Amino acid sequence: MMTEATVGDAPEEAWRRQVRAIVEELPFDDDLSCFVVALETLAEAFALDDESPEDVA
Amino acid sequence: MSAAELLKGELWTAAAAVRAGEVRARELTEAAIDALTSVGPTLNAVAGLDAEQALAAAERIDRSRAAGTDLPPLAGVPMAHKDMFYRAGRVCASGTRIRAGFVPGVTATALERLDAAGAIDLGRLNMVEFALGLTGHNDITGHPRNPWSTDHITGGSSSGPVAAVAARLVFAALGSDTGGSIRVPAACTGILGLKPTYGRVSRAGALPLSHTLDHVGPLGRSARDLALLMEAVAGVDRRDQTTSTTPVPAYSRLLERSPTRLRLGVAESPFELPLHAEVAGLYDAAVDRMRQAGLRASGLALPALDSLNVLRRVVMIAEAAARHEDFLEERRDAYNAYTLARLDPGFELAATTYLRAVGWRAEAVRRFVGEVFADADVLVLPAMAEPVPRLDATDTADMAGYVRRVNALGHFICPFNYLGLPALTMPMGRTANGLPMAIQLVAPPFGEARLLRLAHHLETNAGFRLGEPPIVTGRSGIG
Repeated sequence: MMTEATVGDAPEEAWRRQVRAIVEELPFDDDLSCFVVALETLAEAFALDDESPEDVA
Repeated sequence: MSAAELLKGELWTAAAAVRAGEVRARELTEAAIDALTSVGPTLNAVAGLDAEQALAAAERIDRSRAAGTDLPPLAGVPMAHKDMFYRAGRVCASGTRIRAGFVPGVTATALERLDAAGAIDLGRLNMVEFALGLTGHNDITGHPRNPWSTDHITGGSSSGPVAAVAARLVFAALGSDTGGSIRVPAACTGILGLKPTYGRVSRAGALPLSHTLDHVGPLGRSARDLALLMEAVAGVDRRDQTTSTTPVPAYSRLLERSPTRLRLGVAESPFELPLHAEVAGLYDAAVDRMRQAGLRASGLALPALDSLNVLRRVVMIAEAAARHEDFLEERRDAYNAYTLARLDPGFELAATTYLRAVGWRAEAVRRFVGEVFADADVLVLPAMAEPVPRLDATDTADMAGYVRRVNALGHFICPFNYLGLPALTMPMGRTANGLPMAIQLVAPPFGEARLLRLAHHLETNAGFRLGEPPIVTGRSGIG
């Protein structure tokens, strides 16, 4: 996705091209749920058997 | 073993020695004060020393032990921290002229928790101005120096902490990581640095830079030391509403579980940022050593990091610019020029660009985790693409070059701030210039225990551990 910036660009112009190519092309995601909740959900899905919750500090 | 010899070892050993009465907390604290005052200036590591308060705290520990009281897990262990963790009534200067006399009225939650665990706080360690910079440069305080070679960068922004921990001046330190500021300097100085999952460790009372990306985490000399520190500081905090209620694992107990069943996904070249030949050689050899140590390592095609780096940078410069707007209006002349070079672009961003970048974060982490951790339990990848550069090769007078260099240093590191995933760097060897080189381990959210037990296995069974830097081996009088 970074190929939009070309050799010889000034760093500022390369940066603007990257922002246009990457960020401004994203669909706007208005998911207002807490990011930490998203992490907690993923943690449950990717937990391993030998990392059991009873081993709490 | 003398207190000065213990100081060259690991935190957990010293804590056990205090508990067993083999050394007094006061002796350990005096040894650390000796080291900080004798070697500290050579490395420009120390921003402010609280010797009197630390000795008083150490004596309280010694009295408790003499009275037969059970000691907390870090009792009597001298530490010092990046100069951005508030302690009520104590200056917190954060590497800048603008906060030279700032005295907070509150104490950071992480410091309160270390206090409760019995750790001794010896004071404040130098850092990059406002924690914004990966090389360690700071013209205001002077650049901290790398204990492996004072001509090379420490990395930043936790520059003083890594110098002090690597040089055995203190056992461990807290740092912060908004875009690699724990992991890059740890990598440059041959110690371990852990950026926990976003929400795992409270940021309350820590100088903010970019609230979406800021993380607080430990720097230390072994996985066991990091495990003990995480047990002390992790967990929900009502003063930081982003902290998670997920239970804190017994990290130090879980270290003993063999990681040989873990599936390691080893990121394979070609990388978007090609590795220097020496780094590539060390990385390949490190993976070979993992396999020889009984670990299951398979190749993995790394998702694109460049786009994640752009997203992270958009979020960081927008939030940092907003946070600094008032300071910049009033005291622009007081900033380091290279701090300004990284703050100013934040004012040119459209608000909609920032909102798109920050709004995509949850979807980005779902996609990344789904792709990488479908067939792997831990992602293994390089920490840096090039050997640790010299101070004079990271010329901050060349602003465009400086920003480019910072972005390259953070290429493999910064995506995990945006994604909020736990990431640990640890030494895998040294390059021909004698400087350390690190590898990076990344887990799914709240997988710190997995990273620590793998790191522990690599230290003890695969040689992922460096000896002492020359400034320690050559140290006399305090050894």
